[in-house]
Amino acid sequence: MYSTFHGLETSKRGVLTQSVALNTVGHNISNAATTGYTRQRVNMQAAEAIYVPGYTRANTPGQLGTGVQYDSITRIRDSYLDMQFRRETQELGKNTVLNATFESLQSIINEPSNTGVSAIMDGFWNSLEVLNRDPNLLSARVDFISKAQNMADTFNKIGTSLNTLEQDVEANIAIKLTQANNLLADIAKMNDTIRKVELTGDHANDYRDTRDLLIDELSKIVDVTYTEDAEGMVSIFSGGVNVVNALQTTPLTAANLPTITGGEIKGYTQSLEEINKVRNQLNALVDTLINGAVDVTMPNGYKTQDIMVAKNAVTVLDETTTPATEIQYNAGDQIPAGSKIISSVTFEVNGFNGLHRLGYALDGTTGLDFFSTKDNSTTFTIDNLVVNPIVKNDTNKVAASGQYLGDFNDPNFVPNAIKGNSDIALGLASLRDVKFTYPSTLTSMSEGTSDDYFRAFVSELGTSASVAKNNYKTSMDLQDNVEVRRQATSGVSIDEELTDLIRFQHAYNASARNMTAIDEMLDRIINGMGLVGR
Amino acid sequence: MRVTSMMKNTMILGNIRRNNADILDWQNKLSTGQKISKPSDDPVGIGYQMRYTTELARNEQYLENANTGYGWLSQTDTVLQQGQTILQRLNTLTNQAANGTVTPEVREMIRLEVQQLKEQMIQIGNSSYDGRFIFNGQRTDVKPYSVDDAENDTTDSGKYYLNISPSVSVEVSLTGEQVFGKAGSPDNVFALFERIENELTASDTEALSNSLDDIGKAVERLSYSLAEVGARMNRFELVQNRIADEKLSLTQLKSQVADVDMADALIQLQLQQNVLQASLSVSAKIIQTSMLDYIR
Repeated sequence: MYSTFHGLETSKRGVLTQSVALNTVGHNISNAATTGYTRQRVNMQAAEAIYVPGYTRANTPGQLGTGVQYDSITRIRDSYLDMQFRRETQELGKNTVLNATFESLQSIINEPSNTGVSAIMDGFWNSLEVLNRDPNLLSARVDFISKAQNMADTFNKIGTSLNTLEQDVEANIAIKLTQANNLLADIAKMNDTIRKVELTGDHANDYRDTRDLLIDELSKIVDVTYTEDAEGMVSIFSGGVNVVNALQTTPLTAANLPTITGGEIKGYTQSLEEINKVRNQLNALVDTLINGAVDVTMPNGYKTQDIMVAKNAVTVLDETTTPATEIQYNAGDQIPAGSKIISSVTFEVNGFNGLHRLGYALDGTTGLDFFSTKDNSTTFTIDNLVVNPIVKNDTNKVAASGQYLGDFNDPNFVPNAIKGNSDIALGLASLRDVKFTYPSTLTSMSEGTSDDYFRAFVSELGTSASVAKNNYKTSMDLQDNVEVRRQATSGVSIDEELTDLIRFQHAYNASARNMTAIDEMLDRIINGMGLVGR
Repeated sequence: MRVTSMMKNTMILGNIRRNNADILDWQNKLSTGQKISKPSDDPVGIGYQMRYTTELARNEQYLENANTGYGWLSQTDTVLQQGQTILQRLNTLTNQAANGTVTPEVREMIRLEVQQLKEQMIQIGNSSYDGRFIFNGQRTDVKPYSVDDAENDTTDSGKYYLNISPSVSVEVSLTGEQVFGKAGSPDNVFALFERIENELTASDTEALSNSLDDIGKAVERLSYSLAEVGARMNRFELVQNRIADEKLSLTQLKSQVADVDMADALIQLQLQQNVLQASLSVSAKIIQTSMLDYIR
């Protein structure tokens, strides 16, 4: 026999359970636009029917249902999609930063433009052509020095900009480390809360959403792998460090930077490498142009003031005898100081400075460097390059001439350059088309003219920047893609919720109506029966 | 597939973002007229663009070199022709003086004119272009010939070269000794003047007749120099023409790499704008519709 009030109890369960479902629908709709929210579902099932097998079982046919009950409220979420999302987020974080760095690098290099290194170097080489045209012309000398100064300034400015960019990146790394560490502390706190909630057998749905969102944010900054233990606490590994272990956190420090393989921090460490690469490549260009060993041919000969070795056979005019006699020297022979070489001659010199040192200034000075360094270092960089102040302050010191008058061996010798001679200026101008060898320690580009080198450098930067931009676009699309799939599973669909709303509302109403029907049945039995003939 | 409102948002935002990025790109190209505004736009193209820009700038200098060379040689040509006129006059005068019937007064007048001609010849030897002495090799700041002792003055043997293309240079200057004869040698033009003057003073008609041969040789040497100058002028003229042609083709090549095809760009921009408008209007309609519109 079942209870008289069985029907009332069944309907009550229906009303109560449906109202829980309706409340959950309300919760879902309210959070339809909340970032990181996962839709929740009330898991309903039919309550245990009577009778269960046993000695007290009644002999009525069964089983009779006892209504509905819900055993849990759970989130609908796919942890596989979470993993994918976090992987794409790491990539996106890294690529966003790299893309921004390349944008900055490209605007620092400033090509193509009328003020970039390429245009400035054109001006510099062309000013040598002007000097070669009329080596004695004051305005040509002034123009040459100012173009050289302009070139040094342009390189200096690039150097300063690269240093500033580097400092910004380093500052951002520190900020991102702090952000990541704050997230780690929050995740550990959520671990604690979730453990406490779930110990009671409940599902900590909204707390889990919060923790998942924290991990999403963390994955933007660093690489993240994680596992969940039986108590519902996550353990996170970043950069090979177990940064969250249940309630314990191990903050990330600068020492962990090399092992971090994803996220914005990886983007920043890679940016530092790219900035350094750009700086090294430009340093290689500057140092090689000014110091790099190279063969220079002077078709008109040269008058020495030092013992020199030519790379070809040369003819020297000995003016001490009357008439003057010609002496032949083979390649590799030592040519004495004060020799007037009248044939074409090839020397190995150390770059622009090495050749300029051979030249004779208007006042006869020789052995002067055209470029010098701010820090007196022997290696030229984009940061320390300047026009030698001695030359800059006295245009006469530009050593364009390769010939001088008078006998070097005469004790009363006063140096006196031939002013209309532009052999050294011609040689300096020819360096533009000379193939230099660049140090393999600094750059992957081995050989070429300085113009070729710079063009290759810009093309390489452009290629890297273009790759970075494509990676950025791709990872943004991929992240969107995974996010869409995640939303397909976990997101709140208003239409669906409204349908559920109607479903649960009908069930609720019907349960209430059923209760009324039972009530009327009971009323009939209690108040309407046993009154026959009254 | 379940479709949720956040999905629609994410996708719509992603598409609008991409459309806007493309529009910005085309707008930038249209407003600058440049296909390449930064190296990543076309990493290979920028290499070419920079090369063409550099070549154009270099060509300006080579053109300037060619103009200077041509100017220098025109000046040389002019003065050498003057020199030839002087030598012809000398020839006429010497011829006249070699005739035994000429009176001493006339011979004296001829001597005075020869003296004048010599001074003119020295002036020609000291000609300058743009403030530079053209017959003194590389010592362009020093006057090569003195009035008193021109026949023994040596000129600098250095040569003046100009570049006409990368690593090709052309000799521009002639040295004084090439044109006027070696210093101290009897061939020297100035020595010839000196000698004729002396012969006129001595009224040595036979020697004067012999000197006519030497004048012929001097004229020949001068003509040889003139031919040389003419050949070099031709070369510089060719260079000027070649550079003008190159400039045209380089400008064309650069334009192909660097300049935007306006018609294409405008069409592309319009296309992108249409797509954006379509996606915006469709998005607006989709977002608005929900079941709320249909339940009471």
